[in-house]
Amino acid sequence: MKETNKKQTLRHKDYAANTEVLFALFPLLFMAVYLYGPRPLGLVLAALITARLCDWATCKLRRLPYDRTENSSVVSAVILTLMLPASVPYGLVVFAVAVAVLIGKQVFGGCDQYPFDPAALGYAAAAVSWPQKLAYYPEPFAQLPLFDASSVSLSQAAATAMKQGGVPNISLLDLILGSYAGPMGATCCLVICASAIFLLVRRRISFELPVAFLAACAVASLFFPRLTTAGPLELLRYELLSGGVLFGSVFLLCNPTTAPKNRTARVLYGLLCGFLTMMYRFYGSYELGVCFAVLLANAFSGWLDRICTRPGGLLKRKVNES
Amino acid sequence: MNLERARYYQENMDRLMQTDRLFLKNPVLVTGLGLAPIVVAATTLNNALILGLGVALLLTPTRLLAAVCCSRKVPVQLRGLVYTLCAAVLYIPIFFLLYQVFGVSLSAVGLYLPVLVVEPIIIKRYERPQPEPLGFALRKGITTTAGFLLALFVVAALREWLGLGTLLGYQLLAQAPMPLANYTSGGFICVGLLAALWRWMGNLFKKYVNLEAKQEV
Repeated sequence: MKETNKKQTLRHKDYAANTEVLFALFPLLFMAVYLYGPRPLGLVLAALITARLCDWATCKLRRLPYDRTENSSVVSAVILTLMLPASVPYGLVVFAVAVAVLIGKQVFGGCDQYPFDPAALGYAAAAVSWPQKLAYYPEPFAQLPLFDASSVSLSQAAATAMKQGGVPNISLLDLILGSYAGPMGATCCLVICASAIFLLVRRRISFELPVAFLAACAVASLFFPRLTTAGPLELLRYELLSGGVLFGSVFLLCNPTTAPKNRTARVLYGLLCGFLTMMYRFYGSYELGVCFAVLLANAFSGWLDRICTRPGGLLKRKVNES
Repeated sequence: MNLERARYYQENMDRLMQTDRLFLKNPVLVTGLGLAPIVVAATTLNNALILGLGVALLLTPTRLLAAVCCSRKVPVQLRGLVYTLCAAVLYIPIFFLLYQVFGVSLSAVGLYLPVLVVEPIIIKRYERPQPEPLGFALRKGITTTAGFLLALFVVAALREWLGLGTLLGYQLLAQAPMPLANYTSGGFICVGLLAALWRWMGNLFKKYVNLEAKQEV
């Protein structure tokens, strides 16, 4: 047998999974650049550099070797940036990603140790700190300048009209293609569905989570409608295809570290997330209520796994002793 | 640091780690006491002044009064109640004094001023069954108050600068660097990071002392 002198670099165990999620996010970034110009690309680059620097700095502080193939922070950074308006300043993106990586991931021990989704945490921190900057979005096809976007005209999110009981003035085609003022990468439902199918086929996400989540959202929308002048189908259309609900169901809920592992627990978790998301959308102040709902549901993730995997199952039936 | 001092610190480091309530065993940043008023209410130096004066007037007198009350044979199960009652009784004149000094701006700290009556940093001594001698109560009350005030003012200054860009109301920055510091979540993050930094500085000090003590004359 020939001896090879080449050193084989061992990749992190989640490298392939995270890379495929990044592949799934790439079309959404492409759509963001198509709708808003090169600025989303600049924001994502800033987010990537911040995430890598935070990981490197933490490894230095902990005196651990820096593993370049551990790319979970990169995935969180891209997901977080795609949930923001394209008009946000670079400083806001850097702050949000730093909170996501340092507080959301590294403080709890790093990769596979964190209980809360870092992207959702980073978005929540940015939304609480600068609510006005995240409540308004630029119109699509407005070519935003790469650096200073302060002069860009902004409009309110669809959630504001829906909270007042009004129907947003967005056609079905615009909703599906993402041609309305919203988060830069979370509006194009067609591409999100394609990404979801890709991740399902590659077995990087399981179908129970998004299906249970969307089912809970649909039931809450139908039984407690807030759009008084819309029919049931129109209601479902606006509630499920706006506010980052579809994006959150694929990329936030299905985080392999924070989601439950047991199948029954996943269904319950999806239902809980869906219910909480609709509560935040009905009564909360922020456009992407799904982020806050995911953070709250993350607290129950471990408990759901425990109660669903104990002997006897969820209903604690007596186990027959032989 | 001269050799004698370094050797003194090295030989007494274990004792200092338990007794130095200013730095090495700061009651807030090392032991975790008094977190509620600091994390929630200490968002500005003005609020810190109110809380600091409240704790300074309440902590040591409560410990002294409770030490006197508990010097009689008080059952262990009632010691917590005795400490809390002593704090509550002393709080009444302290509140009126604070009102004379600060007026309606007392409402900025809200519930966290009366909550000092049951705050662990004031009444934690009740957990130990042995009655406390008056001299110990006075000394430990003063040192614990000093440690709390140090942590309180550092955290409040940091949160006001980060959250508002001001210090004592004077605008230092055009924009607040981290508005999250104004909220309880930001307070937890600031106190947590400061506690990590404090422990790191304590470990650096111990290493420095050991290095200096190993020097040959």
